[in-house]
Amino acid sequence: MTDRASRWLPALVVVAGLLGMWLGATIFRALT
Amino acid sequence: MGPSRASIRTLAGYLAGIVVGTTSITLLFLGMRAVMDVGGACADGGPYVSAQPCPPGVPLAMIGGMFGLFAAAGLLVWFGSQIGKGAAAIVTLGWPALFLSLGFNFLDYAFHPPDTAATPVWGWLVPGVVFWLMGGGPLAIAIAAWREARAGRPGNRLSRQMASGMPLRRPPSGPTSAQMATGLATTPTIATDPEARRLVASDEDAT
Repeated sequence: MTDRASRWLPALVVVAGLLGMWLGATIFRALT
Repeated sequence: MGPSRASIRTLAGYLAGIVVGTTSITLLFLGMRAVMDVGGACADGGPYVSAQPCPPGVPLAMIGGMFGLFAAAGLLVWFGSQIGKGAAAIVTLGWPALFLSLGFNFLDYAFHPPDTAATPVWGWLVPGVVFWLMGGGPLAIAIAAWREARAGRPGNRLSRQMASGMPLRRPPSGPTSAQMATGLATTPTIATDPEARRLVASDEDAT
């Protein structure tokens, strides 16, 4: 892990979390 | 020079773990609300006719969410441990995230039930409070320990462990290792020397 990557890690985690919530809602709508 | 191929793979696997984890919690959250909309319990399959069949798609969403949480924990621990202690420790946030979000559903439906039941609906209020205690209690303890460790006053085993994993914030100009180990330090500060940390920990564990 480079310094630059680890500096951006918290922001990437937040973006990934939001993406997951959007994905979960989309999958749920598609299933039901 | 960019990051190496291996570290990009590690980062991608780690972020995939975050995505799978939050996707799973969202599926469980929405699936639980759909079941609560039909009264809080439903059943499908088997030789009998169910009085309350499940809303279509909800069983798959909820079972997928449950197994997804295990997959997410595996990804986060596997790839996170290659990044660092803090990155792998994020998996522990899954517990409060799950219990606080599902507890929110219980509390929401306790005060805003889908039918016109008398509020609060005690059968949903009680599990809501229990879920929030289960999720919020460990989170509050962890936040308190993290703040202690960050301020340089690791007062218990949890905050000492956190302090030992934190990057050094100040040069080791405070008390010496021996002072820290014998408890003679006058100013409270994190023992910056790993050897001193070990001594402090073993000394207090022994008592």
